[in-house]
Amino acid sequence: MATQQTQVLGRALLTPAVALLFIWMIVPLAMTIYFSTLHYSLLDSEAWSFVGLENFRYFLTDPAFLTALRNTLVLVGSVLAITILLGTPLALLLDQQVVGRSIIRLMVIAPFFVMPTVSALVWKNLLMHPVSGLFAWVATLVGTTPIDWFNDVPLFSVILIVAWQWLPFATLILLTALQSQDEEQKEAAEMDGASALSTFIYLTLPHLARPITVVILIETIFLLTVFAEIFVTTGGGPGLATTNIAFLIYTQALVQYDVGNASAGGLVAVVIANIVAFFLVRIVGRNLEA
Amino acid sequence: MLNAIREVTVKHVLSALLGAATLLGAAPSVAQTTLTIATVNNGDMIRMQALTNDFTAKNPDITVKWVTLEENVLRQRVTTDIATKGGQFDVLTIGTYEVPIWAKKNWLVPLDNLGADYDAADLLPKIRDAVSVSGKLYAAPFYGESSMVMYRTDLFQKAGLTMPENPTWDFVIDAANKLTDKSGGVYGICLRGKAGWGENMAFLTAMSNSFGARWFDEKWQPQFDKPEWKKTLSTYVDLMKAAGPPGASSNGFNENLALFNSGKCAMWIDATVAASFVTNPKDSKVADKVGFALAPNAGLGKNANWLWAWNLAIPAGSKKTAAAEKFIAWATSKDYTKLVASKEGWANVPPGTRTSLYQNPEYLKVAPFAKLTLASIDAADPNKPSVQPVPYVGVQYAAIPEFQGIGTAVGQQFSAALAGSSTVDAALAAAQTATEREMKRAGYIK
Amino acid sequence: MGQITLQGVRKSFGPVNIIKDANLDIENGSFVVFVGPSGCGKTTLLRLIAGLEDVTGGQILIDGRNVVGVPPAKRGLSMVFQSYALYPHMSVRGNIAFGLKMAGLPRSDIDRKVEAAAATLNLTPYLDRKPRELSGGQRQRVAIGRAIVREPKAFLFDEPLSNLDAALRVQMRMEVAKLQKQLATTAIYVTHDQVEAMTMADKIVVLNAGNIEQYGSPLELYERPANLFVAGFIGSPKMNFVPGEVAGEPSVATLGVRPEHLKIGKEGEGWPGTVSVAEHLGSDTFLYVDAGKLGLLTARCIGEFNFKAGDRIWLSPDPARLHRFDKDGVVIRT
Repeated sequence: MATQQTQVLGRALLTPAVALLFIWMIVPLAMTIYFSTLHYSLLDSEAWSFVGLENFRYFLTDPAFLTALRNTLVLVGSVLAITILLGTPLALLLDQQVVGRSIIRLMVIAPFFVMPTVSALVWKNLLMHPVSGLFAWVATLVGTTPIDWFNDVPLFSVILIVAWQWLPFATLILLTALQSQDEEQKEAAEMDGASALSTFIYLTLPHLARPITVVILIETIFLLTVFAEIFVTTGGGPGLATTNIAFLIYTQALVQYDVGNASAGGLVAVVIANIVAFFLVRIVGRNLEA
Repeated sequence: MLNAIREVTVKHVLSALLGAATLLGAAPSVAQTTLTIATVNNGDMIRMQALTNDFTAKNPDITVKWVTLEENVLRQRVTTDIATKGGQFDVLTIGTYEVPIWAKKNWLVPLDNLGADYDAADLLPKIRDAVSVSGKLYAAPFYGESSMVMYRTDLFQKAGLTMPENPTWDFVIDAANKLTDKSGGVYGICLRGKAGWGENMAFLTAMSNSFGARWFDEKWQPQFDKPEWKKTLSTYVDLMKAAGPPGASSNGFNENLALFNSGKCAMWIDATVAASFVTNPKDSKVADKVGFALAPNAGLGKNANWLWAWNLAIPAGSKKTAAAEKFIAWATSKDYTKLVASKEGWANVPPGTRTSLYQNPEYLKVAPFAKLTLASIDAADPNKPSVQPVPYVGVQYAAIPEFQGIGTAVGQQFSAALAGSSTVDAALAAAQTATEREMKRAGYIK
Repeated sequence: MGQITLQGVRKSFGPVNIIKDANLDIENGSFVVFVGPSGCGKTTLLRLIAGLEDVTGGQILIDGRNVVGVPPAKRGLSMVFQSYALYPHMSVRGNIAFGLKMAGLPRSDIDRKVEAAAATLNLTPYLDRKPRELSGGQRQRVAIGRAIVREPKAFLFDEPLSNLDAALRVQMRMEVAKLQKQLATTAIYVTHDQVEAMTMADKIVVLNAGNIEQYGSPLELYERPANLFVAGFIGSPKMNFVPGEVAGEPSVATLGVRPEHLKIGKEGEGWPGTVSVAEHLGSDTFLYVDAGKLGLLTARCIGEFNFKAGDRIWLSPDPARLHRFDKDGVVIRT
């Protein structure tokens, strides 16, 4: 539709915005790469020097690195599984006509608006605390020994908290998708003799494939960098049980203002995120074509 | 660094807002100097903001802008600003950990001109040591604390035990075991367990001092492979396993405060500031049943207590040094203490910095824990934390930039030993490796 | 077999009565069209028969069996929806096969039936495409294929052609009608378009405000409308209505005459009037005539007449084709 003239004009007009966007993206990345090759600590800023890949070597050979990587993947995978496996039925439930639906929806969505640090504190001290927590109280009530959550199953406890925070997000996206499902299609399936289960499997699930992909990708981006919940509840411990890559970067570099090492760790995290995203897109990406 | 949540009530926030409003109302006519002050969001600092108009009334040519931040954010903002010479702030609120590091880097202006009224000799000597380098004051302490034993007088009485004023670890361990009644929900002792350089490591480092341990020898070689540290950690782990509450490996100051206040702990060793919380009937179920004692010793002449202060300092390069000095002199003066007392009562004055406060009968009347707070502060020596010689200053930390990272990593290992997911020996070995690795990289160990 | 009988069927949503006492007998193999203005309840009536809505009262008999309370799939009917309601994630084959698969038919039977249906509807080349890769007419045919493959007792069509363009609509209209005759299966077809109704139906049900106004063959409705509503609804352009008194028949309330039954008479014959608009279509000429007290009349004249606005003409109605209605709008038959 465009003549050559309008094309040239269009490009000329777009250039400043694209250039700005490019600079905005590329400059911090370039700086990060540059810093990652320096021995440069804010607290020792006079004595900086070029060290090549030393920062990467130091970060990757950290005895805690593999554990942190494993914890990161377990955390992301578990939270994804929980939020989608619970979020789907929850969304189906919320899609039904029930009294006070809007209030129920609001309540289900509420956890998403709680700050991570706050929800971590609430879970840690009010719910999971083995002496003064609600769970411990219930356990004592039914005559069992309270679970010492952060001591015995620290990573699982963190997973629970994070999953609780992200469940509303998954539910909300899936609920919106359900509401956009064509009513006549469901009726057609009803006429075709499909049971509720068959309708769910053959119609609803394929319809949800795309929103589920969106949930997986968006959640992964955020879950790879979970920090506040760990910092508040366990401080990465006991041992390395709850140390993920983000927390490792924090202890290795951020807390002591080591810019070089932090940049290297950050770049490693970016690479990990890309690898994870690559595989996730491969696994679930086929659905995007449907 | 002690992560103590001070009582930041709505009232304080409101009065802070009112104070700010008054500031805006006073239209200045003379040439104005605006001081930007970075501060932590604890109760004492918020109270100070509310009282700022007393300062601006006396100094009409100075206006004050507050930047109030949560402790970790404050540390990050202030460090970044001063290291990159950002110059955002004219007055900084910093801890005793930062003062010697920054002073040696000439990032701070020495406070030589606080005026005759300031009376630096009145500062508690150990606190003054902590904020001085080579005899020069680099920051003015505003609030100071140590740690001590808080215990339940009723439980001790029932068990026929008497807490000495300066207990030994043997006594504390014995008492903790005797007072533990797990079926009744009472635990002999509550101690920090959550990993972090300002969490479990603050307590454990102070505890290790009493057992004669040290972080580094004179050549900066980490000392976790020495018997003193093994004694410290195994004593701690054994004690907590026998007499500590479940979930101890994730308990910090706030968790233990809640446990103690609800009557679950017979003893608690933590910041002296906690004394005013556990004796406050509004928050505490056991307010009238609390006694205090010095943090325990192992007969080596050192007690397991730390030393911490929040201080005001001026970044080097500030162009408003004179005004900043005026402000600091006002905020840390004896008159300021009197001002708070007259407005909010003696119970609310910032503690732990001046000898004169501990000689004031009105303060002693409302603060039954004052005597032990003072004794605790006196018992900690930042320049000679351990019985063995050390190359660093700091009681519950080593004042080197790398300590926050090392402390957190070591804290994780020690919390694993407490949780039982690692043994004492394995945790110490891992701590030794991690610390050596970092110290080599940082160039301390050649 | 597909004999459908409605006995006193009622449907209300809360206080609103959508269907008021519908009684109807649909013979096996006939093509019945429900027609009426929007909101008349025709779609609701269809959905009641399908079982997608529950009746408030009355009985629906399919081959003599009361199906009230029987789930849709068990009624032996199939439905073509207005939006086609194809399953977007399945191929054409999957769409057509879905009902059979749900019924648990063996794979080989399903394949055979699907291919037969596809052949009937010229869909064979498209069997492995997804619905979004098809044109509107092709989608429509898939929807029909999905309906016929189950060999139902009756087809239910809910305004199936309304999303197609005019040319395709005419073509599909014929195809649907032809297919129905070929299969000899009862069909109920809902539309608001009376041309569609007239051209396709064996019998038409005219609905208005939840009532069945008349049930009969297209010509019956055209020639002998039971009341003013049917008279006005069936036929295009609309029937002219003039007050009986003005027309010289004081015994009837309203006199109706279709535009094609008005002849242009000689001066002084019939009703005088002034042409306000003349539409020349070549084959016909439509005249909109202001006839004073008689109101605005429409006349449809076969062939070309050279009138223009402002011309004065006389219109004479065919006396054998006059419709007389009493004051309740009910036709008076003599």
